[in-house]
Amino acid sequence: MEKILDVKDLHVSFITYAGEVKAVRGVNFHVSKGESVAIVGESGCGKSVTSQTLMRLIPMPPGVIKQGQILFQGEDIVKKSDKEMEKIRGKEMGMIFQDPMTSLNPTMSIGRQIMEGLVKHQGLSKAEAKERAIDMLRLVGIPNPEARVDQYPHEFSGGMRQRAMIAIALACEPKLLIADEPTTALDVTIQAQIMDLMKDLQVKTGTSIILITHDLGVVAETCDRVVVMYAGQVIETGTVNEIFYSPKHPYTKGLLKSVPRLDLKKDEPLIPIYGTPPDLLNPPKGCAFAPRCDFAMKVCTELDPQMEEMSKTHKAACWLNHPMAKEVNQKSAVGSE
Amino acid sequence: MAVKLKDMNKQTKKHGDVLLEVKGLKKFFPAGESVVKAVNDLNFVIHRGETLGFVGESGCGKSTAGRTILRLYDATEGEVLFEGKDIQKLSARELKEARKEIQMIFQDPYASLNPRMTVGDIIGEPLDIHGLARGEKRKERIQELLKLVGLNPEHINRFPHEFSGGQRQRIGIARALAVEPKFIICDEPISALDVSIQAQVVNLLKELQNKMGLTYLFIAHDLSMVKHISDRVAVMYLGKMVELASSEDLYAEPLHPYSEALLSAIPIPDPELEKSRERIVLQGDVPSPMNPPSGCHFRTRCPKVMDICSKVEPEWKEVKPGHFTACHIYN
Amino acid sequence: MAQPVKLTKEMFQPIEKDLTKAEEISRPSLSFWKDAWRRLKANKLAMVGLYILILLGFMAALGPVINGYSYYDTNLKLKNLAPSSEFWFGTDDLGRDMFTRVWYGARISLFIGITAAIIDLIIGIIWGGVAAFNGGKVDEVMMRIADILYGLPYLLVVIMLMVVMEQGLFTMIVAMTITGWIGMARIVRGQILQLKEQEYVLAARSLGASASRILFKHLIPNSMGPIIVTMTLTVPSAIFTEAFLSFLGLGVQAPMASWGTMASDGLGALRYYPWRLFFPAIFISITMLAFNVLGDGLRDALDPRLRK
Repeated sequence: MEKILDVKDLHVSFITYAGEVKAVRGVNFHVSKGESVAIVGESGCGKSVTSQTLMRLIPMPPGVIKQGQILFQGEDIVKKSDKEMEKIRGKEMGMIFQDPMTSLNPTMSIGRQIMEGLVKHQGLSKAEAKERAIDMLRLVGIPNPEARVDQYPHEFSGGMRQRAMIAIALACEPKLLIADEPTTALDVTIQAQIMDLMKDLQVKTGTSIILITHDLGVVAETCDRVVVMYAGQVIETGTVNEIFYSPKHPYTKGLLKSVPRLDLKKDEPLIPIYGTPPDLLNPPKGCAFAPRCDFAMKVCTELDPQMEEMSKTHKAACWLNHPMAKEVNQKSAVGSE
Repeated sequence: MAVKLKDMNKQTKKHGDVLLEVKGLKKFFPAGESVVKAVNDLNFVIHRGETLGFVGESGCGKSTAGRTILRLYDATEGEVLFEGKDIQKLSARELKEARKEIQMIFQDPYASLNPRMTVGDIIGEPLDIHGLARGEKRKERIQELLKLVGLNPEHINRFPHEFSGGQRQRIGIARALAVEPKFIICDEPISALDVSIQAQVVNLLKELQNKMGLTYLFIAHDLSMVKHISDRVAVMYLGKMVELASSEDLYAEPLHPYSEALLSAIPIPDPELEKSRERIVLQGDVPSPMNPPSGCHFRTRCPKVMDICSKVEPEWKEVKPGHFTACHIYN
Repeated sequence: MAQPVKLTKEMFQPIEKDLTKAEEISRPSLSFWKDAWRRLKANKLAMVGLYILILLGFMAALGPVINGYSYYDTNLKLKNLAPSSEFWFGTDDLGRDMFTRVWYGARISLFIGITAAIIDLIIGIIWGGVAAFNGGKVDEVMMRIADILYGLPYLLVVIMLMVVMEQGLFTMIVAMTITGWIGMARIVRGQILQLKEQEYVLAARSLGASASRILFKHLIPNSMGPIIVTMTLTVPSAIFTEAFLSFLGLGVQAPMASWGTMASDGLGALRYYPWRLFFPAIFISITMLAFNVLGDGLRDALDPRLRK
């Protein structure tokens, strides 16, 4: 399938008073046309920094892209100027944010916020843009769009605002939609509505979606592939079935075991992952997860693990998957759990 | 009320006597011309040693209920009987004493700790307020509490911002435990935490409950987590309780259409299961607590709505042993 | 990624998990004040202001005794001399050494400014704190009183006071603080209203903390940022007010002198003996500028939201 986004060896750091915080340390992943890919991880793993870097939204300074390429539709956007990025943002790439309260301009009507992009990128007249805006509101399921288009954000409920944000992001028919924790701030019944809407729209418009979230349930429900991040690195990637049914990295396994599931019995214990993620001011030598890993080996504290391929789509960065590990210690191989 | 409170406890005889009894609790907030009925006639009991879960979405009143029980807000109407005494009627001095028995853990680990105080002072504050320990003994007790919640006692002079979210939440737990309470209200204690850290904190709470014989009221909107930790669960919608049952019963067979929809909306981290599940997606938004719909508040979004729902408020009934709900389907 | 190190079987042996490493805090402890100081230091202009003020304070303490002249000895034979190596700032029309008088005046002006700021601080914190903490009717009544006082024609009040009380240092301070505290009270009230709803305040209540404990241990310490900034900006305002009142002849009485009274005296002689106005005026300006620049720097340094 045609790759619409290919991130290669991306390194992003922040220069702070205490030193250099290495937020993203060598991230590789891709998104194909029409796919939805989830980037999963906990706070501090670098998923938000990665997604914002894709749109070049990180202020530089204090941020800096130290190395790497972001190939969007074949062109490396790391090298693009601000002016060139303006043409891409909103038009080729759209983004929706976590908090609909603060991501919408309270002093502009919803219609105008949708129209902004249309007028700028597609050169529509105000009247044409307004028609499109009403169409977009209808598309995202906002009732009575003709009246709603002139209303302000505070007149919308949380779920409606998120729908409005989706309308704004999709107005110019971007090839890629980046959704940064779009439902975290919403009630669970509204979350269900929004996720349904996004799935629906993806089928209708063929947009590729990157969904950033920490909610594994949402991932299982809506995504095709998963990229798992920890401490600024991609530690596992695969199809949704591969990740959920045969995870090959102890962190992924740990994450799946620590999430309570509705369908399991109450007495099944939750097995947390002890400790906290490392401070990226001083990333540890070797595998960043080693201090918290039940299966850590000597090599894990010395060398950064390589990405081992389990299949064409499934890769994990863990020394346990190295052929030598399987030879030495049958019991601790992750697959035999 | 058609059902006597004592009948509501048949399922939970394995726990101790009644620790908390809430009768007809109402909390209204004035809002300009009208009134927000945040909590509207709550009735339930909690037994010693059990964990009662409160679930619901924003605006349902679960947090307000927790704070009113603790008397951080004065109730508009109703009684809150803790070991037989009505908290709403206590004098200032008696209330201060009661604060040693009932404590609270808050939601936001970043806002619930005073950023200018060291961790030692934060945990030591209840000891100071109630004169429970001074000097060397105070320091020892604080270090003991830090160890109890899994933190390094050497960090006693650090500031909250130096800790992660999960660690801060544990500091909040240590603070609540300093007075050796009997009953702790946990107001969304894990919502702001990462998934793998949530498990840490929940396990800690369970461990402490076993060790110290605590009773919990666990308020949350994450039903999977509430099911995991609670013995019984109450579902709230717009200030009213719509269903109450044991954990297992509620999830095995939700009676109220809202509970059904709520459970159906929660995504399960299992791709094949998700694809094959039949989902109930509710239409529309949660109505504002300022102007709840007449009759049954849920009728505007209910997939099984009937004519009578807009005219008459449904009665709270014990539809199955230990399983209560208020819905016209069962009348 | 090429591995320069050869992998051996030995390296794949499992190791013990070190849980203490998992809970480490690696950065040094940085309290709110240390962080603010670091940020202030980075603001060059604010630091210049700070150094100037330190220098000023030093001179105010030692200036009057440096060159051996006193501030009150008159000598009509030496009157109105231009600045020279004998009299570095010249002399006034009673033959007194301007240099000594300027630094003596500095003591008085700074004393008035700082005292007024401190009194404003105390009254303001108590008034604003009590109003905000209680909220409701108490807040309304207290702030309406403040509003009314604020609306009184300031000059009239001062003049009336001067009529009732003897002119002098004490009266001057009373006149300035009679409405000066209102600004501080409003700032404190604003801060506390905002902080009142914070969860840690709720937590303190749930622990059984008394109202005064909450106010003094929780709310006020967290309002210190804006309080300090307001204080820093009150001082130049007070110094200016004092100069202004002295200009109108309502200042301290001779032989005590403040920059304001000296400037007032110097005004009449501006054409012939400009140094008599120049020196006190320039120091009033420098002092005010330094305080203002420092105050601005402090505002940025103490703003928790700008914390990196």
